[in-house]
Amino acid sequence: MKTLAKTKIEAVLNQLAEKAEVYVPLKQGAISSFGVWSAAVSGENLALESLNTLMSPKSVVLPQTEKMYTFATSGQQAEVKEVCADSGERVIFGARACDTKSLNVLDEVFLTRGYEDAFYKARREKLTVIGRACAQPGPHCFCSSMGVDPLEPAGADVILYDAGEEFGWEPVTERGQALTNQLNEFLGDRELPKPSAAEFRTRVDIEGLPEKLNRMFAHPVWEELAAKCMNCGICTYLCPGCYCFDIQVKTRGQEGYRFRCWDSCMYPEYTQMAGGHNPRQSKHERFRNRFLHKLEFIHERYGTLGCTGCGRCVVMCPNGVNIVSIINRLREVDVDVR
Amino acid sequence: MKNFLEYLGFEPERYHTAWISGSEGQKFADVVTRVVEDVRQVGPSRKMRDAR
Amino acid sequence: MSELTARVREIAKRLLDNQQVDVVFGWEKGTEPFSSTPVFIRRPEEAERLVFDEFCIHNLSTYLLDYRDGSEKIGIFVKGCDSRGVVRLLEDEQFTRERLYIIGIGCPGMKDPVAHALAASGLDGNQDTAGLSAKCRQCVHPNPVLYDELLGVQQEPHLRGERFAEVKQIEAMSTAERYQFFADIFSRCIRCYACRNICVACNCRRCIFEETRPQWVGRETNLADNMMYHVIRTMHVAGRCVECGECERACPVGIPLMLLNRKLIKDVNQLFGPYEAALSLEEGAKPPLSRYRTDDPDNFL
Repeated sequence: MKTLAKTKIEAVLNQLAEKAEVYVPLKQGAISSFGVWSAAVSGENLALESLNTLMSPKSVVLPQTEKMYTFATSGQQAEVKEVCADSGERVIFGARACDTKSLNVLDEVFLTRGYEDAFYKARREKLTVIGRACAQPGPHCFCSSMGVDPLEPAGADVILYDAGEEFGWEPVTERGQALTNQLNEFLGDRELPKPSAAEFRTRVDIEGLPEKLNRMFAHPVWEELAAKCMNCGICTYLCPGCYCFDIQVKTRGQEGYRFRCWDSCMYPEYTQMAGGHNPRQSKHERFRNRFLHKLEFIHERYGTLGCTGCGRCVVMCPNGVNIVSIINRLREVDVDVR
Repeated sequence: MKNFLEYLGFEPERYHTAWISGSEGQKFADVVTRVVEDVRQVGPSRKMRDAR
Repeated sequence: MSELTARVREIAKRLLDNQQVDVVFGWEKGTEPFSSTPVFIRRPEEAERLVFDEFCIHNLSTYLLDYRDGSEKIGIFVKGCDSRGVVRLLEDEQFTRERLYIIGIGCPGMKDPVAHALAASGLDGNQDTAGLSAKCRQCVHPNPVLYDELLGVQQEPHLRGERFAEVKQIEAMSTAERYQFFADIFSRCIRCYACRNICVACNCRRCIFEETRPQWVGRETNLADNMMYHVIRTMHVAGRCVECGECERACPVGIPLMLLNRKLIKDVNQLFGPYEAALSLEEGAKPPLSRYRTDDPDNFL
């Protein structure tokens, strides 16, 4: 097995950063996120010993704001000037299974079922993911309940195994192998034990839940569950698997650009229609959409769940809305109650 | 508002409020002249524009 | 079970039993020792879910807005800041006093469940768990200002030191320093609107940030649009903010929103005051920026 001594991590990141934008878990004062490794970033900010970052790495492939194209108008004519497809090489270093699995969910959404999103594709094709096996999940983690194997980050090109002073380094795809070859001078070679099963404090049973939810659209439990939600966007924006976006335009004089930006099903204007009608008027309808989308609709369409159990929403909701408690309550109620 | 913008690091010279009646042409001209003079003194503002 | 929890349950049960109210707003325990969360009790037997402990930090008055258009009678437990939230809604004519039965609790100061969850979770973020929550450390009015019934003991202000010290520190900086200070802060805003949604003073039915025709503030997360958002949000609660600190508590990226609100509280107090928002319910009372007086200061003209 290849190995990477922890003392050589910065050297590896520097090497990678010569050819690619390298995203690493960083502490940034009051927050933490996958940020770009550069000369301006000190190794002290590197958060590899922490469980995870507050902001998920989804912004690497789906930035919160992304310019799509610029245009200029003259009279009745409009001309597209530049399509802003971003195609630089990128590396995500140290993502855990919850986050890499979420990338797979995004792949399903943006690259399959007959439509390929050009902007997403350009970023995704040039992305190498160095995942990291997670043997000590936090108290709010429940990825194993959502079909995620924390020890084998799905979708990673290389998997790191923490063995104290060094990481075991295992390429699992061709892309990962190519990267390994590039970095050979930094890597050692000896057998290290792989971590065995991780113990989860939080577990939830989702067996049969998508099918049950299929019959629960009009169930009164949604009003009860939504009562404490205030319809802010924290859960959707911290979620590694929430991908909804809006496309808008900004103009100045004769020039302008079209961009897309994250949107949240928690916001009333998310479903606001041009004619003025809003099909999701109330907060419980918006709330219901989020959970049905994660636990039923995505499952029906892609055969996987929209939640990967990272626990960020559970930790950060100011009003204690907890998806695990919600799933338990959804399992418990009688489908036929009206 | 002016206080608040100043607090956030904008130059107060950029923000003016004035009551001008429709019949006060001269006052309007004077105020605009003063605004232009004030803004010229602090120079072009790049703060909000470049932050886009 | 603490004595206060017992009293809270007893009162809720009584109010529901004799049908004095249709629903009671209170707190219940979540899945962790540090998670207390809002709960809305409709049946007397459910009153047993209620608790009152050191993590009941949420300002329940904002939830009254969910009931704004109904006619249901509501029993609501309020701490000092929450009671000012209720006064806010009454003064803003968003609710009527007749629909409310208010149970006040002298507040000993609360701890922040999210900071505690963060500290336990292993996520890197603002894990300020030492003693009282940041918002409660600034509290000058821990005792309810409006109630039908009062529980607990009268509390002394939790604020140590000077109320506007942080605002004054920023005022003392140079223009360029101030801009840099706030630019750093606003650039991390993710525009989740939690600060707006959790705010009791943000009670407009249609919010300017949801308007699309015209769209007043761009949806891009860049410094300019973020700054516009925060300037407008703060100005909209000027003179009406009840200092419950919920905006700052809710912010997932640690933006010190009270540093903005408190600047305007200080200015309104100086220019139109002495004034403190929603400290008592008076017939026809309006916040200073909602009324006109011929001697209003006009030094900005």
